[in-house]
Amino acid sequence: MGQGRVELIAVSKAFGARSVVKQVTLQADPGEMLILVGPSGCGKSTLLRMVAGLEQPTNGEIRFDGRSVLDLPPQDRNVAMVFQNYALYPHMTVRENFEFPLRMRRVDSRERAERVASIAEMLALTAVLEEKPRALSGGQRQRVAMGRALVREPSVFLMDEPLSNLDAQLRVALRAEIRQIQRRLGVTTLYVTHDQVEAMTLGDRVAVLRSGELQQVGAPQDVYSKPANAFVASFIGSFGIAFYAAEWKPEIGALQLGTVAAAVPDSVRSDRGSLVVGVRGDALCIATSTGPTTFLAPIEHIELLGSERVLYVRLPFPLWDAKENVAMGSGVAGTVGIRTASGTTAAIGQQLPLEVVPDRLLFFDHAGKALTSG
Amino acid sequence: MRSDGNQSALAGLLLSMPAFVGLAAFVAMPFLAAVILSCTDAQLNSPLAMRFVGTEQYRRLLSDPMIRRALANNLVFAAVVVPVQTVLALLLAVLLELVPSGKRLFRVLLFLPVVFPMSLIAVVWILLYAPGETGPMNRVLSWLTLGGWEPRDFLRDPQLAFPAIILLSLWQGVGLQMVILSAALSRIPKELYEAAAIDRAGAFAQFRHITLPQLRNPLVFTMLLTTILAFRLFEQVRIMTHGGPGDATRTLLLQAVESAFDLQQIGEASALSVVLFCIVLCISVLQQVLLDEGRRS
Amino acid sequence: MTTSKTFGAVVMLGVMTLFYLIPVIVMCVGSLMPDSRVLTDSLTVSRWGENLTLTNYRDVFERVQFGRFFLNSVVVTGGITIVGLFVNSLAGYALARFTFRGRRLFLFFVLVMVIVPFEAIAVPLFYLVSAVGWRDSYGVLILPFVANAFLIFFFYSFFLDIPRELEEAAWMDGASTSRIYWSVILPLAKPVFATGAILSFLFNWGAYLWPLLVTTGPEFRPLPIAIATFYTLPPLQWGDILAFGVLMTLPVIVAFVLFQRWFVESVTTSGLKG
Repeated sequence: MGQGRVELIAVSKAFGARSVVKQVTLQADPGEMLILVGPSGCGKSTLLRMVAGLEQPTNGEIRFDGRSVLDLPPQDRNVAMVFQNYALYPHMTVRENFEFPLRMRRVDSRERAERVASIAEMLALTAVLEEKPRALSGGQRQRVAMGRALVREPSVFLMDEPLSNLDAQLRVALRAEIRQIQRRLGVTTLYVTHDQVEAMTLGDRVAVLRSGELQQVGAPQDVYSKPANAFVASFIGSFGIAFYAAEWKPEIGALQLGTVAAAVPDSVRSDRGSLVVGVRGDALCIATSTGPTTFLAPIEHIELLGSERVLYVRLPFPLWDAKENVAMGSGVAGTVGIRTASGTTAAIGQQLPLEVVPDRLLFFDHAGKALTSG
Repeated sequence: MRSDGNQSALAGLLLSMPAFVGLAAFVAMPFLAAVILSCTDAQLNSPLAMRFVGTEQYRRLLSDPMIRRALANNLVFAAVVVPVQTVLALLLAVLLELVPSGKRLFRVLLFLPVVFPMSLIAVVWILLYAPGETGPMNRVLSWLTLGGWEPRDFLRDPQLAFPAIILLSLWQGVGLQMVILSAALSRIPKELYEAAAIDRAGAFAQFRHITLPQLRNPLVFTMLLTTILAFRLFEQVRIMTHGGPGDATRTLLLQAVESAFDLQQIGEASALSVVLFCIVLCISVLQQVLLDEGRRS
Repeated sequence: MTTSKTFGAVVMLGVMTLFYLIPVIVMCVGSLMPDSRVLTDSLTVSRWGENLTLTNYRDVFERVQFGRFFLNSVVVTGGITIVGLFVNSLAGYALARFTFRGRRLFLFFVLVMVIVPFEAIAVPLFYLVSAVGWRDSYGVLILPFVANAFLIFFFYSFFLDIPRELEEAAWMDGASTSRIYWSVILPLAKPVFATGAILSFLFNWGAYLWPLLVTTGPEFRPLPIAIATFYTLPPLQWGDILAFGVLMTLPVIVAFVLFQRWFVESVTTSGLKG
């Protein structure tokens, strides 16, 4: 069995005239959990299906452990896949579902029984082995789908939105479980989701896609704090981001953001003058005293999250005129969510005194590309 | 799609080939033959060469009083059977919903005639329509009218023969329509009735504003299906009356079969077949249009 | 209020069903009566019990080759149903799952053929088969009905509804195309095959027009023609005719009662899909 290194080199896919994946180059290291994330229709599922062998790329190369697999049909690639709707064989019991891939590979009956028993044990499905899928709960079906994929010990494990048919609580629980199992088995995993929270919490690395193009690959924290462009910045992060047009004023040595002058890192002190600033809630703090750097922003919406409370405020700065300003996460377009302890008093309409935290601001040019600080 | 494109294309062709050949040979070809033959004076087992006569067969059909009578009979049949059978089927389906138990038994009993071959039904009903006061139908009618009914010979009576045919066709057809409507009826969400009851709709208002609109497509489907069947009316009249007395029970298909089979006039029979097809085509298209409309709204 | 409504419904339904069943009752009771009594007594409940007899049933077998007719019906209907299920389901599967040249054209062709009523092609088909002297055989009774546009479309829409992922999963699990068909598709399609079989049976068991045209003697004559001919065979003995009727429907009724849920569901699903 190989180690499970997966390489995609300049992979493109078009359905007729419609191009859904464009020149994607990406690598998953052995044992890594790589998340493909993006809004629906970004080509992430197609990418996964090409790795599986269910679709052929129009162009480009796919290699497992350095060997091209383009000529191999899916059953010879030693990959396993969990489908969004699970695709459990409805007429077979859980045990028969687990056994099917082993039978197809002519695994003898003793080993079959052993492997089925151990996978059922691992996934806590021993009690329902003789049930048919329709008798199971959503979470159990999901685990059967995983078990059927894992039972033949693939070198690459593919998951296509495996949690999207479950309710929120189960999703969180199974997220942790998937991560644990994946670590324990050390199998290279490509995981497709449209949910950025899932991507951030599950992945060793995250690959963000949009309209078939790869935007950025990196560790979740890096993708969050150093987004490659305004799209990634808006897509990743839970409490909204707003983009503002700002002006570099050499005469005062600071960035003019509305009425506020903010100190910024050297790297963005370009001579270009006008630039775009991305502000997330964590780049703002509630001011305790008023000064030249403080400003007032009205609270437009309040979300209670148990122990904390998110205040969505509209900043008094000129908005950048681009579609990234439409809210991607929660909240109202053009507002930014600030997390506060739930004890604090706040009411809709209240003017909140705020201050910016300059080193948490994100800087972009007018095309949306990040101005790197490194 | 499968990546092994060539293999899949070959498999697809191979798998659909037998069905395609069957349809082409036994449906498409005879149909084309009907169109062609209808423009000739072809006769079965005739030593004379067949001649091309253009639209003459069709013109003859239009002026033939027997054909006109046949067409009129088909139309009357449709005009009577479609509404009556629909109302009866709907009534039975609604009653079936109200019955607390034994629903399945009633459904089976009412569906029974559907599995009887029509030729058997025709023969049994000849007995039912037997003339004289011992004839079962005469007896039932006499009993229902408390003795006021004069025994008649249904199948030889020019006024009664066609209604008699209609009655037995209704008897055979209502079960099928009832079962389809009943299934559709039990699929209407109970919440709709609950919501209507909260809005103070009475039983009739509920039927009018919930049941009927919800049954729109099954009703359209079954009514037009019955209309099509009306134009395929054949076995009953062939076995029970041979189109008589006079031409009281003549139908288009009977006429087509008799001119081909008994009179060997293939040209004329083919023209009738084409006419029959055109009528069915029109109804089918109408059915599809109405059903699509219903699915959209 | 509710109970009186229910009571009313039961009474009304009961009365209607009773009237509805008169022909069936007459047939069953009459078949057990001496021929002379059928007309006068088959509706007189009080005289039903008097000297019932099975001689009518014996007469049927003595007067005509009932067994032969029955066999003919079974062979023809069975042949059409079994071969037809095979041929039509494969075509439906090919249309739903494979890409091949002419697929869309074939699909359109099938949809058009669904509309053509057999009655509209019976005469020219009769002319064509007569022209080649093809009559009085099981082949001519079976073959024209094997390929059935309605059933092709019926199977096609079923296969279309099976999630493609199921086949993809089996494919990734290492199953071959034929293995996928046998292990995944067929088990799922069992109810559809049952429905198709019942519909095909209902379409064909009572078929009258075509056998009337292409069978000339008793050798290949199926039951629907046989009963009509038997009725015209002198002397007119109603008891025998009714016994013939009971005999020819008994197996169907048994099958129907055993599988009634299937029958009803078949007809309704095909009807509701329209």
